[in-house]
Amino acid sequence: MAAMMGLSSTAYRNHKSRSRSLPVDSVFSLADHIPISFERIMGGGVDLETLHEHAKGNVGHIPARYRIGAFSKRRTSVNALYFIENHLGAASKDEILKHLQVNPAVFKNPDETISIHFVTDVLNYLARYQHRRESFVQIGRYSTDTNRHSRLAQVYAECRTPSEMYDKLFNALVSNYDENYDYRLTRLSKIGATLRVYQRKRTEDALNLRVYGSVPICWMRIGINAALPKYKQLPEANVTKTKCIFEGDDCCEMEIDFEFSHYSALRRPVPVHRCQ
Amino acid sequence: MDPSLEKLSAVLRSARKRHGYSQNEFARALKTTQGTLSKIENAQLTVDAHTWFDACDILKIPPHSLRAGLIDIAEPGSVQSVERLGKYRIPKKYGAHAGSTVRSALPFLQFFEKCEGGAGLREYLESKKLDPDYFVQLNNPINLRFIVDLVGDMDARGTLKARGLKSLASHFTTAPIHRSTDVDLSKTDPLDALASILANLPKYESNHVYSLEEVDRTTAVYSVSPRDHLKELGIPASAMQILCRYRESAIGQLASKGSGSLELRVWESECSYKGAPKCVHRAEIVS
Repeated sequence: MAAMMGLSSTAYRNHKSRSRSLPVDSVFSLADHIPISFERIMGGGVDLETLHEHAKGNVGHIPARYRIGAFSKRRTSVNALYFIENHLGAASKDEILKHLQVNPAVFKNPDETISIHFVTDVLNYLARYQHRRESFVQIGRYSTDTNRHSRLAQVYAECRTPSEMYDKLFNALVSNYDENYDYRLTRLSKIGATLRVYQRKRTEDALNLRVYGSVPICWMRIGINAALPKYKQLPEANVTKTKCIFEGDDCCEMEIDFEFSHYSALRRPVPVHRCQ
Repeated sequence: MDPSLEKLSAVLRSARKRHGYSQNEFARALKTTQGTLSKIENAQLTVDAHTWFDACDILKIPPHSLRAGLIDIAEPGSVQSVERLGKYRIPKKYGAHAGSTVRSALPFLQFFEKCEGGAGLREYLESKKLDPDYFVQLNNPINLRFIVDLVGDMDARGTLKARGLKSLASHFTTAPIHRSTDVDLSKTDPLDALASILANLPKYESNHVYSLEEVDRTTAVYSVSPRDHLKELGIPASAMQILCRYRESAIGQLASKGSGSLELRVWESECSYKGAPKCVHRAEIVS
């Protein structure tokens, strides 16, 4: 341990007995040798079982925090990580995964499940380092790039109208993304929709939380919902959040305006009131 | 002065100001005295791991910032107008239509510092009403006018002529500025490196659109198209042409970095600042 921290045996004993404060470089040196981030070493919360399993070569093992209440499909996490790698750099993605003690091998199958805590922690890590709302909306928008070769993309592309795409997503396909929430289209017309997202008791009980997820997840969801028409190479929808669980409402609610997409699909000129 | 203390002091001052804290406010948040914090920020005192962890948590900076002495927060590129950022005031001349970042300006600043010294650089930045600590965080926005003025001032002082554009461009190959951009400096094939660089340049600046048009075993063609907001900055074509030369040399040197004896020669065949619709560059591997 002393060698990993770049310390002499005497210095290591002194630090261990707290008679000397711990140099920053020693912790950096330790983080270089073992797959735990500086923040995790200093802030606590190391999953020792995962550390042990990874050391044995079992890279598919994930921390307990991400196994409990595993009602999300991994494809949402795959999208977030794919965006991070392509727009923020592979070093950023590696740092986040190291901090969360998760190996990239975990994401080979996007249909496997994982707790919502994982994508929450990924986005919260970005939020911790100054990332703003727009970054998370972009992550959501990126879902059409990440999934463009998937069977889901084909299903959306075969829909005749944007309205049919949203209907298909929220009434038939949403379980391919997560089962942590109930998604309800309370309004659906040819040019727009109102979506309400309610927490599920099953997840609340499993995670022992009254409110789960995070505000960055809400922003990411805005991006995902805006980008849906892009599976048919149509313009994005405008999505406005009108209610939020994190602001004390009973659900998250979004108004989805896909009028531009609708008229583009019909190859008709957009009505005058929109052009002014 | 101890380089590790210098890095610590620079990173802490820069992040504190970006976060909008006065020295007194940050000292209270860190549960220390202003006197102690002042010593740390003047490179007279170090911190232990616990204090560094707490400081990073408060200031929202990655702990590894201390290793390079630069705060490298990766974020998607954008064009924005900025006048205030925390405690920083950015003159409108350099904050309007800011499509560049400190990351893209850093090679120019490092070159200036090498020629005129650290004190000279500080004096120059302060004469432009810019806080030198602003240039420690790589994703801080700045516009292209700042880089153009810096190059123009170096030219007027004779610095650029004395050392040459190639020497200036060599500062673009400094590893720390590329850390979070995913540019792979280890690629042994310069054309693979070129593709990696072009794909990642939007993380440095949003002033241009870069596109790899053609590539074969030994040659490549790529285009550089200026974005519309650059017209608002009123930068003369002659100044932009100097930046075209810089970009050629910088990209060529960076692409050649991992390739040993091979070099990527880059030259411009068409220039948008001489009337062409876009700048077109050709690249060729030479040994």
